[in-house]
Amino acid sequence: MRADRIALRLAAVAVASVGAVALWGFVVDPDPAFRWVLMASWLPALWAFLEAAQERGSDPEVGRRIMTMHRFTIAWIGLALAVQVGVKLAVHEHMLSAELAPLGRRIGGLMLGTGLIVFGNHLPTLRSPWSTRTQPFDWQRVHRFAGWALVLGGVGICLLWLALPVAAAARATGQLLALVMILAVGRKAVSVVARLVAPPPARP
Amino acid sequence: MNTVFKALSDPTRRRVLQLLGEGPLTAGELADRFELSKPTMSGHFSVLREADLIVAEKRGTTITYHLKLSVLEDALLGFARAFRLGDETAPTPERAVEGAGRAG
Repeated sequence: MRADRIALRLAAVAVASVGAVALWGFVVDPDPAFRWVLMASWLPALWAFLEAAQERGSDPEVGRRIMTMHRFTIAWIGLALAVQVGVKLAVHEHMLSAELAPLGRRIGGLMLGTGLIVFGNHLPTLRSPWSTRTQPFDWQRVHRFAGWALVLGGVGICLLWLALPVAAAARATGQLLALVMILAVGRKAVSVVARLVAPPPARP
Repeated sequence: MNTVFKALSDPTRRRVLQLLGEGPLTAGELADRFELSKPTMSGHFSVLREADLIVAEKRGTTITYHLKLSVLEDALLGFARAFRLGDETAPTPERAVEGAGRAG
């Protein structure tokens, strides 16, 4: 089977898993309901946005490769989230021993870290039509910077979940993720502002 | 992976990747920055393309090259540059001994 078909099916399974776990969470502990609605909706919303906004560009092969990578990432993140929350709910409902709760959270944390490493590693090779259109001169440097930030952040998250107690690892993961996102988005913002201030010379 | 190591083991190809790291360049612009013949440069480009480290975009008669390095390949490039792999001017123990002999 082609990689894009596998990615599509895995992403669908992951989104369905997150939805099922969110529904289960709502049944078990409905208050406040918005957290379960948020949990069930953010991943399919992100996926729908990426699918709708992704332009195929002049080369359909490039668009297909980019979407395959995005779908694998959505699948990986969705499965990590479903494992983390699912194990927590199963322990709450006495379906799993409480001793297994930290293990489930560690597995979810390690999946998140490895997902970031894999996606970050490929990010600089993805010539997204958005980037090439909006920043034809700088997209490469922005993607390289964001790729390195994600890979190093992913390695850091894996190390945190291997070395720290669960509560400390969860707290530090949130902080590290926020830092990585600020760095990646900040680099993009710097590039956009620099282009507005001093537009690059037109290529012949 | 073998093709990647082969591509990164040559200082000229590493310099090409370094130049492309600053932005896309045409084959002519790249060739102008080296004192090498066009067929030799073309050979280097084809090794880099084979290793999937660069992408060629053809518009009319102009070929523009873009970098296509993953983070891992970027790190390997950094190591290859730091240790000057395949660089005949890089200091080695043998050359250091020869140099010391000449100095003495």
